[in-house]
Amino acid sequence: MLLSDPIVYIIDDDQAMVESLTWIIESIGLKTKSYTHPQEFLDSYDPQQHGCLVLDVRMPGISGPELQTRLNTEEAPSLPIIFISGHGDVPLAVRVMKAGAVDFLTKPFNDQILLESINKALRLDKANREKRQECAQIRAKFALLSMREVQVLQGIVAGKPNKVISAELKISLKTVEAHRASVMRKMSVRSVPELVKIVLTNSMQETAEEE
Amino acid sequence: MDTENGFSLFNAILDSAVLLDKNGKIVDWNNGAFSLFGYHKKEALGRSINFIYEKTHPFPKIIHETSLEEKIWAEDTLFIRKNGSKGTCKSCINILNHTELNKPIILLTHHPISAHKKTEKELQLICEELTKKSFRLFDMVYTFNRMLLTTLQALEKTEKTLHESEQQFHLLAQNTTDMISRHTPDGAFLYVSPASKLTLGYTPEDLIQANFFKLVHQDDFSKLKKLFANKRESQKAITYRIKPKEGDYRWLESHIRLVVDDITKSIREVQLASRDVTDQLLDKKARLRGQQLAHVYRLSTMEEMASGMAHEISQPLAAVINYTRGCVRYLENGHQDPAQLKVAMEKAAIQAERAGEIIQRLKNFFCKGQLIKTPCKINNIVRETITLIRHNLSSSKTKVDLDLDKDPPLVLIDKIQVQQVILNLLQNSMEAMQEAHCQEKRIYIETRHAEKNMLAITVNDTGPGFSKDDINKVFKPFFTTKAHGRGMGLAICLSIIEAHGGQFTIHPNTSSNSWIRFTLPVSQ
Repeated sequence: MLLSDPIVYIIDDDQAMVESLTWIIESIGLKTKSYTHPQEFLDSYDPQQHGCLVLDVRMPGISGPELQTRLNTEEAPSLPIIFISGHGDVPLAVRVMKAGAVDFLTKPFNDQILLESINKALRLDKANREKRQECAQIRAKFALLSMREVQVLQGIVAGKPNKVISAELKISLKTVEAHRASVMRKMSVRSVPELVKIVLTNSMQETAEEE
Repeated sequence: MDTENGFSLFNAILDSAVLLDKNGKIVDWNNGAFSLFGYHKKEALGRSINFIYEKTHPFPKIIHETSLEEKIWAEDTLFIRKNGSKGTCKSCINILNHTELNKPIILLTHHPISAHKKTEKELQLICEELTKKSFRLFDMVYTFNRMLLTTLQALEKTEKTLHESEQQFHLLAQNTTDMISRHTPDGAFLYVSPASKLTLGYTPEDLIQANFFKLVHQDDFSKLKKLFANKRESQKAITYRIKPKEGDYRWLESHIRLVVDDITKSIREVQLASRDVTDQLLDKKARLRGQQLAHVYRLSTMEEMASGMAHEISQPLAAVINYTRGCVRYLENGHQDPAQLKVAMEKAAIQAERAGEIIQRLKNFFCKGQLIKTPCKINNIVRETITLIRHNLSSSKTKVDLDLDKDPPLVLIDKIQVQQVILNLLQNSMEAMQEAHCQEKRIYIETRHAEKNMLAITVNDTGPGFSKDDINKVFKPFFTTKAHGRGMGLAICLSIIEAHGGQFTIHPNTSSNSWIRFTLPVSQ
């Protein structure tokens, strides 16, 4: 599944700032969408759209950091955010960076730095989306496994020989072998290390999402 | 016997009586004669009557003439008594023609007049003495009188002057708002004018005999006491604090005059003319400090506003960079419409100008300056002030609603200072609403040309407002309801508005919404 063209979302309450950002970002051939109010952005926000967010800190209504928090709590994964601020507020910068911001730029900023940050953010978003896609696929494969197959899979990943699995589950060795072949087929892997890798990736993703 | 009857009568006369013959020889001598002259009858009989007189009288001739002319001879005579002492008596000779005896009886009587005479003489002497004395007295009286007259005239003149000066004094003392008082050197009140009621809250009756020093602030006590005792300077002025009957210490300015006794050279009394100068003093101090204070305050708000201001300036600068760098990129790529590039460059220029304006505004705001009044459009000032803290407003999610007079006259004000007042009120509103956790944060600003020469600016908000108690205190420096407030804001606002000749009013939240209103003079 291919990602659509990325869109750089610009949110700043200052009209001149929005216009000039559009101008400079479009100069490197990127698509932009701009908003002078965060609510407008939220109203039209499509979580499936690949892109990144250039966000002003101080705005009427919803401030930049507030918007970040809201996006993080939504079920859909957040867009990478580049904060731009009129003043270098260090505690605020630390807070938003911890919450996952890509960068925190102080106005006036060098265009090169901004554009690099935007590219970095877009790459990150792309990677995130691909990883999420992969995980979704693995999860879909997991869903195909029967109760017994899952138990056998757990035994394999734990490095247990077929004999041990058969003894623990109180099933015949033949049955264990049949389940094993079924798991390998359903998960579309050819070797045990490949299987372990998929399970590990998935569990890491889950852990990350739980956090 | 007839004669015997006559003789017994003769002896019964208490006065001295002597019978004589025609030659003046003594025929008979009664008891009165004995007691007057001291001679017995037998010693006197047969002798000439002249033996009792000091000087010899021609009795036969006198008797003869008296019997012929039938009249009485009487003369004051000097006699000598048997014991030698002298006396005066009135001697009278009566000739009695006794028909039966056929011979005349010559009766000589003596009326002692020595006592009379003496008294008369003494009286005369006394009289003379009295006359002399009375003359002297008269002289004296006259002199006295003249002296008295002169004195009286002088007195009258003095009294008149005194009366006039006293009247003047009373007129002055009783009617001036200045408190006039007289004191003993150790401070006790001898007199105090009714103005004391106004100045100190005490009536003159309260103060008489009370000690003035007890009312003086202890820090000022010693310097005042010094002036009370310093004879070298007789007239001096002093400013000091005094405790009135009610309320806080007040500042009094007193002119002190010492009355020194000419003879003893000691201080007889101390006179004071005092007036309450608290308001002038505070006014003067406030006015003097007002500008400095306002400046200091502006500097201290600088910190608060710095971040907002930095944002203000960085905004257009960032835009300028974006536009120009964008243009450079398009030019490098070589595929952009020049018309579009031109638009971007113009936008960049506009943003650069905007940055310049903000810097100018900041410079004005923080730069120290005296009141420079120029005719200004109030609505523009309100709008401009809002843009100064636009970001504080937006970050605290406060909305500002404007209700501006459509066509207000120009006001004659110092733009920067009035901006500061509005700014302060806006910040207060924001902070109050923040602290009260108001759901809806709104500030209303209204400009109205209500009075003829005044334009009113009213600010209110959806916050808790001012309680009635707060209002009395808010103008005092260092009063604050805020957790981190300095308590300078409203005191400075007040001094700025008053310096413009306007009024600053706070309406409490008792009946309706709380609001703050200040007025500014319309430019003529």
